[in-house]
Amino acid sequence: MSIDMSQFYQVFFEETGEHLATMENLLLALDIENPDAEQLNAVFRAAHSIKGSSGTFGFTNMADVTHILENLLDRVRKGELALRNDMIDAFLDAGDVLKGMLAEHKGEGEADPAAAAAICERLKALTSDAAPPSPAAAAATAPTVAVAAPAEAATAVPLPPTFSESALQGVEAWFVIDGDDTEAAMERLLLELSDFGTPRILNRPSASGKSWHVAVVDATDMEGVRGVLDFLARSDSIRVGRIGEGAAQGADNDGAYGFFDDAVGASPVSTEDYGFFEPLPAAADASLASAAADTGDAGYGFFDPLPDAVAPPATADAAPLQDAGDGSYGFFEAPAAPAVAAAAPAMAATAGAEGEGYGFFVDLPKPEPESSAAPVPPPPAAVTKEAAVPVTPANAMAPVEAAKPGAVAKPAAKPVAAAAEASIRVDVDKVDQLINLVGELVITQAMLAQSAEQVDPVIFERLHSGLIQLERNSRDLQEAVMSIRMMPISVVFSRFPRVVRDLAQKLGKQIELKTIGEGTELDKSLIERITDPLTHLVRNSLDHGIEMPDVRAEKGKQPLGTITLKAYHQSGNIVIEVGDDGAGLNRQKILSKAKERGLPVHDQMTDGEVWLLIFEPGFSTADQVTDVSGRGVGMDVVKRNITAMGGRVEIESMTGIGTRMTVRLPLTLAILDGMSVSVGRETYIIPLGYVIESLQAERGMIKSVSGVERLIQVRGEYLPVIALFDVFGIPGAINHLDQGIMVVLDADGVKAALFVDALIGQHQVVIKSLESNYRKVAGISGATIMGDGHVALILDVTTLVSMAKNAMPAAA
Amino acid sequence: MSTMAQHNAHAHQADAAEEGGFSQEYLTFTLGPEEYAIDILKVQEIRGYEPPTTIANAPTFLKGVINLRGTIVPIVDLRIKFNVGTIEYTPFTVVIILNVGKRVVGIVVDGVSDVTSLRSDQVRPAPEFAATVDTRYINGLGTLGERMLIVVDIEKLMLSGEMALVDEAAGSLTH
Repeated sequence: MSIDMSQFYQVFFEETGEHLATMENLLLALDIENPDAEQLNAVFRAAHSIKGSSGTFGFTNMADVTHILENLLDRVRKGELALRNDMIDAFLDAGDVLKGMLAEHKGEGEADPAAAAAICERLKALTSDAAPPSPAAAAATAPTVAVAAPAEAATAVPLPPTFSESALQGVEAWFVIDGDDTEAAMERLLLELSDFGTPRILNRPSASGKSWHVAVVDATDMEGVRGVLDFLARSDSIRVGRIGEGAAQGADNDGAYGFFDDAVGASPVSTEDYGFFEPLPAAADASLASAAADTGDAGYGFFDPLPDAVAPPATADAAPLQDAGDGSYGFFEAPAAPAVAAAAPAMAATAGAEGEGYGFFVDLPKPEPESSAAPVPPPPAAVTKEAAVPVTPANAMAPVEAAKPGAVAKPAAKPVAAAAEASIRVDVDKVDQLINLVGELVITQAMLAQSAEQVDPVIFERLHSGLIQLERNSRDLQEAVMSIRMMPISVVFSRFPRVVRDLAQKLGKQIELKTIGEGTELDKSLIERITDPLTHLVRNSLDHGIEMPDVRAEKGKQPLGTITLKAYHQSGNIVIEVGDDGAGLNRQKILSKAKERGLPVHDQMTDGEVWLLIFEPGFSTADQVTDVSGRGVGMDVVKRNITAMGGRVEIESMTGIGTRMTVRLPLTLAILDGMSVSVGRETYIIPLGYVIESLQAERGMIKSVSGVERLIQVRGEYLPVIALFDVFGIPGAINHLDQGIMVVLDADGVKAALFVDALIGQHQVVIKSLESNYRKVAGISGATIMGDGHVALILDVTTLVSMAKNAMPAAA
Repeated sequence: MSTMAQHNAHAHQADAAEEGGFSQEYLTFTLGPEEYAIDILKVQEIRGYEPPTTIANAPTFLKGVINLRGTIVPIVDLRIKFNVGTIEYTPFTVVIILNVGKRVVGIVVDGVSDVTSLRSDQVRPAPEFAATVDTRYINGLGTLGERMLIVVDIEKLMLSGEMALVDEAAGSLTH
């Protein structure tokens, strides 16, 4: 019975990547002087989740590092150690090491074990900086990570009949710790255990036996305690039981540990001892009613702490177990875990619990024995579909919480539940397919609308109003579907605090990063592709823009330099600015370098033209090549990447004041605001972003040069005329320039007037590739499907303008 | 219509296998007086002709592009390309949508005849002759009673440089 775990690796990779990113962001945002407890907790939780899941998947190297990281974090968040800058550095570096390991597990590169060992040492050194905490002190601080499981941790132990009785008790444990440094391990262990209650060492290992005996007073979550022990102690040596009851049953529970029980801190590292798909011995061993035996055969406890679920029926009505338990695999399958879980005292309808079955990183609802006395069916609202998709553990907490029948548990603080917003992961292909389908729907709707125009609106009034409704709905639908692909640019911006911090440190500069407009949304595919160019621009500003603090002081500036990242929407584009208040570009230096390289330059060039030289391949004005920049590779790549996305870069710079790079990108690659024009019998789409105005030319405005009418005077400017019918050789078009329409275009700073027959209208069009089945056509950037189902071609304005420019001398 | 054609094709293939002959299914179509045969598995569907959107500065045989359920599909008039038959577009003019390589391409023909199965011994190598169709793209000449079928390697033809359906760089790879 083996299951291919690799299918879940992807989920793990994504989750862990997210946790690492969260951790990093939180760390960077921390105020070192006065750290926010909530933020520290959030960092801790992220580390904890990584530890838990990497342990489960057998990525022990990650779990090890996170564990040490977590120890230090834990002491910091409990106020035992003051947060220091070097800790943040260590945390960040540990995050990098983890990223490396993650990449290695993904099969992308190799992690450096030496770095991992080094960071572990560093973290350990930081952890042991201060005196070890007294367990009492540790326990006194309220455990902030939620104690989610509502106590009782029903193992196969016969359950105490009342809640109050059990609450007075605690958990005791015997175990052996291997290794040389048992004292240090114990210290960590006590710390972990203090989450559950007050740990007390009852017996230390002596010459006769190596076993420790520890009691955790007031602890109720036996599984949680076991989970902690598992992490540190030799797993085959652990016995856990309630104080006074001994540990007789403790060892029987091999099959079921508090897996994934994130909130209680059970973070398994080795997998062997966990009841992965083992037929549940615990259930069979337990002195349960016969009904439970059925369950025992069929139920394979995977992530769900099975005994919890199985035990209660011993005290409750056993009958429903029979149908619930059959063939249940407590793993990802809808009916499975719930089936066992649904055997819960409350007898929640199996169907009702279905949603939770998918909760991968979710600890399954542990039915509390107490509620068996008073069966309370969970409210239907608790059946949350949210839990049916892999959500982040934080999100998952909420539904699980809700699903618990009659929560008797101490409503311990659960900061996690509300924090993150619910999200699902969907394959981008599926979204694209959806977008395509909606596009089709819109086209069909437009076709219907067109046919309906033929019929009498008086007689078919209801048809007409229905169609209007349809149009509105399909438009809304299209917008909604399109917005799925849109993501805030903060996804990109969030990586820069780290980049700036590291680089500033390396270069010995003082730099502040300001971000404005993080909420600005753009297409996901653009987000992916803009990250590298933007990083390059930021690094460039850091390295070349901002001066050293002493130089800045000399110039009368603040030693602290500022880099500003700003994003906003402007006329169908997203504009991203990378600005700095540094030295600005040096015109003389650029010009002399350009001359050295033999580029065609002269002293009369405008600033704008000079600045553009830095985008030349291999161009660098850096006096020395550093490992940050200066090799002259990069700016040309930046420009190329941005142009490939249909965007453009502009530079503004003033000596001594600063430099601003402006990147303009289309909002999305898939949709375009266009103006449709007709030429002859053809319809073309002009991307609206290029259109400045359109006008009907009068005779007097058209000027001819050497006998050919090719200029038009608009508001004092002479613009070249591009006659589309001529360029494309379209028959039957209007060929007198004063009869059609002139559309004034601005193609990357070059203005021109496009001559067409008539304007038809303005549309949002879905861009379809012409190249996927055909080839690139000069002057055409793509195609789209119009309302009547016909194909219209989208003009490539930039190429058209340059085509016309090149064609002109030939014509003359 | 396409699904029907393919169903038939499969049925025929099954029959052929029972006869024990090493045969292949072909879709035959006419261009003027000539009859051509192409591998049925390359055919996606058959549809009526509708005026496509013309593409500027394209070769004359490229009629333009159509919207095939959201996909932009170029349409080639094989009659113009092969210089056979009269170029007129009637309600009976047929477009065969092909799947060649990873592309979808439509060809205009005078009419689709049927789906036939040709055993390998029924297909004779084409002699070298000068024609508008390069013999490189002719797999052979099939005989079916009195009829002569020109068996065309449609994929090779459509992806060839002379059809100008693919960008030069991509097209040259197929040679």
